[in-house]
Amino acid sequence: MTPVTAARPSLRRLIFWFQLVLVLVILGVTIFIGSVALSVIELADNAGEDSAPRQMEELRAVGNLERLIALGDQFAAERDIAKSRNLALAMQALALHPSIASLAGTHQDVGSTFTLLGELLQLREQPMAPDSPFGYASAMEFALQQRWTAQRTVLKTIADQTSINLVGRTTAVARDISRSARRILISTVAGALLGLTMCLLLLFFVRRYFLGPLLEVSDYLSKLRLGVAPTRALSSPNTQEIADVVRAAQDLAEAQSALENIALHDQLTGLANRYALEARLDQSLSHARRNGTRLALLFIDLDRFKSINDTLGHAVGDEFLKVMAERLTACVREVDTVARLGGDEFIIVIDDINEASDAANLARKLVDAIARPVVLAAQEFNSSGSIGISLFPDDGVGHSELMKNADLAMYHAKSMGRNNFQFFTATMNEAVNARLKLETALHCALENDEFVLYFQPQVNGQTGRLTGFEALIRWQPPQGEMIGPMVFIGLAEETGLIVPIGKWVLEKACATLGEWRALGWQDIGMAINLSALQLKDARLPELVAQQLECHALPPHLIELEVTESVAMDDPETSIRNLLALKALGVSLAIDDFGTGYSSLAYLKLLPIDRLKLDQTFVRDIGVNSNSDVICSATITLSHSLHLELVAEGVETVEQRDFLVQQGCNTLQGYLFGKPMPQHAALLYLREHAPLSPPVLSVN
Amino acid sequence: MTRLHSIIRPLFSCLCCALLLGTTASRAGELVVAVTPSVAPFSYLDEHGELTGFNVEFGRALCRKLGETCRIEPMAFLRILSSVVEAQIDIGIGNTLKTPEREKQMAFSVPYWRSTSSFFGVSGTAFTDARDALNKYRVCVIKGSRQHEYLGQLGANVSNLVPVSSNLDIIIGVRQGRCPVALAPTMQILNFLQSEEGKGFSFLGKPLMSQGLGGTVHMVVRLDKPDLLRRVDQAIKDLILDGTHEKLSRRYFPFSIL
Repeated sequence: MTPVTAARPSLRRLIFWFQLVLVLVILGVTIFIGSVALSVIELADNAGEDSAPRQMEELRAVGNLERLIALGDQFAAERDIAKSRNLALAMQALALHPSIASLAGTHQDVGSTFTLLGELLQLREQPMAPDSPFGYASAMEFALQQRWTAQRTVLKTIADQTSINLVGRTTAVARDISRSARRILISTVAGALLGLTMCLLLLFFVRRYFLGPLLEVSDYLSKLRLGVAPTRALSSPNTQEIADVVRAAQDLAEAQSALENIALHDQLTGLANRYALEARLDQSLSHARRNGTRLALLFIDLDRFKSINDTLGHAVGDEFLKVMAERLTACVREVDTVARLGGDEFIIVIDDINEASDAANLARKLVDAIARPVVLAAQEFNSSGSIGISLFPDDGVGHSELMKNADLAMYHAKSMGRNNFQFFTATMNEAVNARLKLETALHCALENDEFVLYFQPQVNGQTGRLTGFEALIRWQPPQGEMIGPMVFIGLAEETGLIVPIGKWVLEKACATLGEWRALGWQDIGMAINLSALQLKDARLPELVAQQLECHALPPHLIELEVTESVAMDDPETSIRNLLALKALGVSLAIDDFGTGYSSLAYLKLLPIDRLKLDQTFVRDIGVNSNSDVICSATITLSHSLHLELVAEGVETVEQRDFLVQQGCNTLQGYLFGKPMPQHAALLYLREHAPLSPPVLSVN
Repeated sequence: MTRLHSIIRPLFSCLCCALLLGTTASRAGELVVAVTPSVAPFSYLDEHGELTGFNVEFGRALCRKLGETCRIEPMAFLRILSSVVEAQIDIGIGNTLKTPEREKQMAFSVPYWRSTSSFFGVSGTAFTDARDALNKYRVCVIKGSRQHEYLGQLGANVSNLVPVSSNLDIIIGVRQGRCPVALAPTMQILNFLQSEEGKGFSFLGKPLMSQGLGGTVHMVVRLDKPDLLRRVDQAIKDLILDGTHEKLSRRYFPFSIL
């Protein structure tokens, strides 16, 4: 940003001076126009329409005088009395005409013309007396001629003088017209030039000090509004007020830039965030649509990032994410987009790819980059990432679809053992759809009470006596075959449905045991499986206590089973709940022991009573010597820890004998009975368990 | 005498017609223009009995310039003035001089010629001035005219004042000796003096040009039609400028009367 200094002229002061100059100029122009107008008025007076009658009058006077003279000459030459009379009367009338009469004011002799003509007419009409002396008529005529000649000379002089005056005045007026016209022309041109100059000055002033800077600020703000970074900083303004505007615009730009940075970037890694990604992805898609090119969207999820966060804290986790962000960025071109969606999820958009193999090469590069060890807080971490790839237009045309499909592909990569990449395929979608269908059906099943419990017997290894059952859930849709738990338990756990399902199982199993006890089997136990989510639920001990009380069950007859991984996941809560359950007096068992990711150290911490050896080991007894060893060691371990051992999946006599020989406490498997519905279990009870009659109440 | 009768007879019949017609209110789409009936060469009946003269021709030219259809009515001078006041005619062309009293009752156009007044009578009649003449002789004058008004205000023997209705009556009065002296617009009597019947008559004394007896002559227009007045003014100016006025002036007079 250009620094804005305060030492600039004030726009207000400039406007004041400009207004002053403008007023002076307007005043000058007004005076100028006034003088021109006066010239024009003077010219109009001298030569305009108003002066025309005056000139016409003079011209008419001259003409009438000339005509009067001509008539007088005719009169003088005329000897016929009647004609002379007509001429004289016409002359008298003419002499009275205002055009001639008006001359009488300046030429006294004109006024006497009328009278003279009357006298001349009388002279001409005077009858000659018979006794008139010879030559009298001639003398009269001579006198008449003399008088007319004298008057003629007067009239002629006046006519000539009037003509000369008229010509002189007309010439002067013509000269004035010419001069005035030139003056007006020069004045007009000068005025126009002055006006033009003023306009140019005004334009220059307004543009330089006002419009120019404002337009620049406007362009600057327009670019900001469109989200385009201004290509150049605002130039230094000329005035103080505009400087204020520029400063405000720059502050606004900085604020907007900061806001944009926050709004569009992930604050931890500096990568684009979800909003920026969507915007850029839309741009890339538009570009690809216009140019008919392809693009790839890579969905990256870091494997087991959660364990880093959990074990080493969030600070280390954040540093880890920064390192990963740098590595991802280093693998792509500058034009490509790298974004962090949140957590350990990243998206990379690659424009203009030719083949799917281009995306594959990059994905391979990314997998390798992620897999390189990371050293943080003086510790080395091995990491890996799973990448799902979707292509435009092959796998979707909109950004949502592409992201969803890449996400599916990423999950597929995870399911394929992590640390790899997978392209999206249509079958992934089918799997998702099937999963959605199943989820919907599970909800319905819970609402419609479509679940049933099956019971598998457990027997004492030493005596062979029936000790109890394990309650196992089955799903019996109204139409269709029975569905085993392997199909739906995983989904129920992911969707959280396992909590209500697990509650139902607990209640149903307790109720069944209560019924059996009511029928007389007082010592039969019931093993019930708990899910991870149930174990994390703080209300679980209360629920169990309610069921025990509700069905009047001795706590030791209930055994709650959890898997190793369930117990190890969030061990604090799990141990707290297990201790609470233990306090109720129920029995606790680790299910599928030996298959999970567990630490023997936790066995000491967990308040368990039993271990259930997984059937995979039992199945290979006598077949695989390693299995024999594992079974023996597990039995020894359990005894060493003062825990009972239950062997699952016992199907043969050999397996039973081996386990019994090794000291296994309880056996469970097809050899003793398959999981069976409640009514079959009741028959099994009657057949295999000695009935101990219930204590009947007599009152 | 014969010639005078030949002029007077049709004029009388025309005047009677005009009087018989009574009201002369204009019909829709037509202007009524009144002229005096017997003031040669301003308006008179020619040998074919057609109304003609400077005022008549100029009136027709004016109507053409206005683009209007006009009905030209011969009418005594006083009746022209009263008809304009009563809005029975639109334009009066009767050689009217402008006076303050008249201006209150009618509108005056721009001038279209200029007039003076002159006494006339039997040649050789002793004549000093207007007052003396009125004291000595009976003086004919057009009733209601400016000349009538002037003589009435002189303080002379007004019993000698003989008001008549028209220019023709003045001429008849002088010729028949009813009034040896008459006062009339110069141009209205020039024609008579130059005629055979005018022999033995001449202008008397000095011409009168002041006190409203000379000066510009106007047409009169109804006071309630300012737009018509404006158009008439413009038409008169145009007729002067395009030479029509000069042409007609030279046709009826020995010189330009403007």
